[in-house]
Amino acid sequence: MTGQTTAVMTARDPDVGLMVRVRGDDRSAFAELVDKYQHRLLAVLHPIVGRREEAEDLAQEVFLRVYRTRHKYTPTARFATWLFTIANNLALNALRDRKRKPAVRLDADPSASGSQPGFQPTAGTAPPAAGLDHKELAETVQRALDTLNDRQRLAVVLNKFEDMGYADIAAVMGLTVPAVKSLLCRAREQLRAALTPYIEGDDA
Amino acid sequence: MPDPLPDADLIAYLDGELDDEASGAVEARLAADPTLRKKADAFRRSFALLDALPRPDAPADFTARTVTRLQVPGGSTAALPPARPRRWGWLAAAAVVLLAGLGGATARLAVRSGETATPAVADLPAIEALPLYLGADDLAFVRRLDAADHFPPEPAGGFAPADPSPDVRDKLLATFQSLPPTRQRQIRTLHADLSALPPPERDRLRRVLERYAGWLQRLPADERAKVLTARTAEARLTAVEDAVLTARREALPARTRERLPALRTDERLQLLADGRAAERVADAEWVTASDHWRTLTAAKPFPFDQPGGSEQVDEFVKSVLRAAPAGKPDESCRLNPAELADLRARHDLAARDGQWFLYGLGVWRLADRHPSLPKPRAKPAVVHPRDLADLKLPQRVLTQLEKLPAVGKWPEFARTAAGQLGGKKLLPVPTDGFGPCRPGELPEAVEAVLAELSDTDRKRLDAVKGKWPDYPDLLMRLAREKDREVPGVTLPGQPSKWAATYGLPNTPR
Repeated sequence: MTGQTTAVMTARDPDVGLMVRVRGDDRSAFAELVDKYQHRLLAVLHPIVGRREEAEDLAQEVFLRVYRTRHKYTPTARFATWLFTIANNLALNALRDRKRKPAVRLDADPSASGSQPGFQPTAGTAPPAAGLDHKELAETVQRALDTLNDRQRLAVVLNKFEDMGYADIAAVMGLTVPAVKSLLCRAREQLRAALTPYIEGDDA
Repeated sequence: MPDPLPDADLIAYLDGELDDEASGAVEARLAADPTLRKKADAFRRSFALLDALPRPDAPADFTARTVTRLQVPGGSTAALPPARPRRWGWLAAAAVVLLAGLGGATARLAVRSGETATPAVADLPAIEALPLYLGADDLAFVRRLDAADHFPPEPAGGFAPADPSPDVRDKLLATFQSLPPTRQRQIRTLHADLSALPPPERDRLRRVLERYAGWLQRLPADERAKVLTARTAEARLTAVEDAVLTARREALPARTRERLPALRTDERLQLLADGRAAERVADAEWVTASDHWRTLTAAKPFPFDQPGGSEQVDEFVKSVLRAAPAGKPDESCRLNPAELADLRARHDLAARDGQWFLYGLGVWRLADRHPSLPKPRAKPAVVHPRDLADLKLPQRVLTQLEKLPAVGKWPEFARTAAGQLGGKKLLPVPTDGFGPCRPGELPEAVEAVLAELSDTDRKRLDAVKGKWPDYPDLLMRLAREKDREVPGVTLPGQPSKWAATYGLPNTPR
């Protein structure tokens, strides 16, 4: 990577410049990056793993991985893409490990936790979103999200909370753009099916 | 009628992923098709419901906690370079003990002050070295410690902290945060002052702090609390000196200690210097322990890493050393009160803090100091004059034997009684009747050891058949030469493994 490319990338994304300083073992630059991205990373990881403590631990692991692999960083893309690529890998690993050692979710109804296929809200009996208090609604949405497979869930969350386009999601997840398009389509169809009963004024 | 619009295209349109031309086409179809509009609306609104998910903010100290977990030292915030090749040593363990000792006091202080401050990233080097600073006030205090030279030498590699484990880092950070702001400032200043010194002096004072922290860790909890919670630097120095003198006085034999007040100053100083020599042996033990720091903090050392290892050691302590884990020892206990107290303290440390090395080391040394012998297979072991009824000894002799301090203890009583009776020519000596001294009398597990002997060794053993304690003594020596455990008599596992784990090559023994 030439200094010129680095300069161009830094001009396009100032966080690339921070990461370049981290690559040079600058811990205060690392602290700045952590400061800047912690909430965004947590916003993505929390709905994926479901537990706050686990999401925090995982976010910390992601940052530590960023630091440990800093010498391998080349500024070819936005810093966020690199960060979420690492997050994607660690989150998928964590979810895989969890399936190997299943644990009961602490903050959700265990009968509807994880990727249980049993979530089938019945139209007509489920109250619309306005009738649920915020906590109930959040649990309902989380359960709907949990019906997706891990990759669908990640793609949806990156799309929703990071506002990532298909091309960036593809880069993060190591997929092609058409693959992301069809992954998101299946995920959104499933979410629509699960959440339609809760959409206010919907008479479907 | 055109083909139905694929959902993927509709969703890509909603996501703004289509180019102008494709978007225009979708919009035209939406305008013409109310069912498609409804579907698009359902996609949009179900996706919008994801906003209901909780979006927790990272905790306020997230950055600080993350940065403290960096495994590699360096960078612009590392103001204090290592004095030597860095190694966390047992300081990680020391930190835990010191923090525990300080815990109550700091918590109270923090509550009273009503303030908590989130440490800045710039504080991290000071926080990582917190165990060194917890017992110190300022640079002047450290200089006075340096002049007093109270503390034991450090191990060859130094104690310098570099990469504490994540949980230790978290504890350090939590402790720093729990300190009142004035104390936090004091520690920041001390760290900055120390860092600003010329390297030779900085490194020397840092080593003083390391030795001080190690010494503090080993101090009895109440004395440690006195030092850590002293209100002024002056009071802290006095507490340190008191603790040093108390330790030296207590290292003296009880009778010498009683004589101490009556002695001339030079005699008293000499005695305390002798005490200091004994202390150096104990210090060397801790230095060795620090060399085994991994076993202090992470993996368990031999034999605790073996399946059932801990239980076997506990069983050895119970049935061979006859040391009960708690309560008043009975007369069968082979340890003196100081040994017993030390062993119990080590056992507690192991069970509570996972400091298995220190427990193993203690058991190993006691086993060496109190070697045992196989008990008889078929009858009770001889531990009391009444167990010698078969010998039909005169009452006068029995009365004398009852006064032996070894009464109740195996094999001490049998060994001493045989020696005394032999020495007084009251019996045709050496003789049997005190313990097993021929094949067939030994426990089965010990007979198995016998079966492994070479012909030469068996002949050597046959030559002392029937002689007590020569026969079992020789048997034990042969087993040791073969690096063989003698079940129910020696420590569980191969003697060489114990020596490799706990041997103190540079320590006078």
